[in-house]
Amino acid sequence: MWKNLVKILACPICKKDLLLIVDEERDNDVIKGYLYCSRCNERYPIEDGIPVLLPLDQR
Amino acid sequence: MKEEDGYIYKPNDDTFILLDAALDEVKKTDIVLEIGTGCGVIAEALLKKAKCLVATDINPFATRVAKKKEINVIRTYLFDGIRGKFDLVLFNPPYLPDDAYNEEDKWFNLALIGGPTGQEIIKEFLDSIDKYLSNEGRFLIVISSLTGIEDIMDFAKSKGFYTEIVREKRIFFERIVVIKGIMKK
Repeated sequence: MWKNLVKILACPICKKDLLLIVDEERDNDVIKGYLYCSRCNERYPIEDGIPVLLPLDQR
Repeated sequence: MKEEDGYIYKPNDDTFILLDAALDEVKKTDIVLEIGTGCGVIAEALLKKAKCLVATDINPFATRVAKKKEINVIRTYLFDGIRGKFDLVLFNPPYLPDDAYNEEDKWFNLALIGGPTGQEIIKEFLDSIDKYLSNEGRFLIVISSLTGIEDIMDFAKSKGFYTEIVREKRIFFERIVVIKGIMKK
């Protein structure tokens, strides 16, 4: 996931902005990590560079 | 997970008619969003023709294929994981009524079935798209006569859009069209 993409990503539950936490990156591309919504206290994984913005029961 | 383990919608007439319309519509300055990109055929073709492009799909097999094409892809449902404004939004929706339902494969159903009448997901899209369009923003969607072209155009009008048919193709008894929508000022 391109790092700047976080600006247009939203929590699928409350639609607020997300905090990007990077575990592994390559050339500004986040391979592994997660997106955190502080309002919902929910973590959305980034799997193989793809952010998964779905509630837990839909993943 | 291998790609062949799950269903990904293969590019078909509806893909190519939307691609053709999108190539005509896109401007170099556009920030583009494609909803339901599938394996990313349209997004890939527009990558170098727009300022920026983002694509979504709910299907994990499809997003993996799209990611390999260097597309900024997000796995989410419609606009759920998205905020911000886009100049051009593209959507080849699941538009078949649920009598085409396939018990065996949920990804097949998600790519093709638009709800009991085939219109439900398209209406959900049209209900919220105004929040994601820039001032001069426009959208392109594919609709089939099996879904009800007039119904969808009337619904879009009721949501405050000017609509026009920009592409049309007949396949035996089915007619598929690309509808362009622009917000009324």
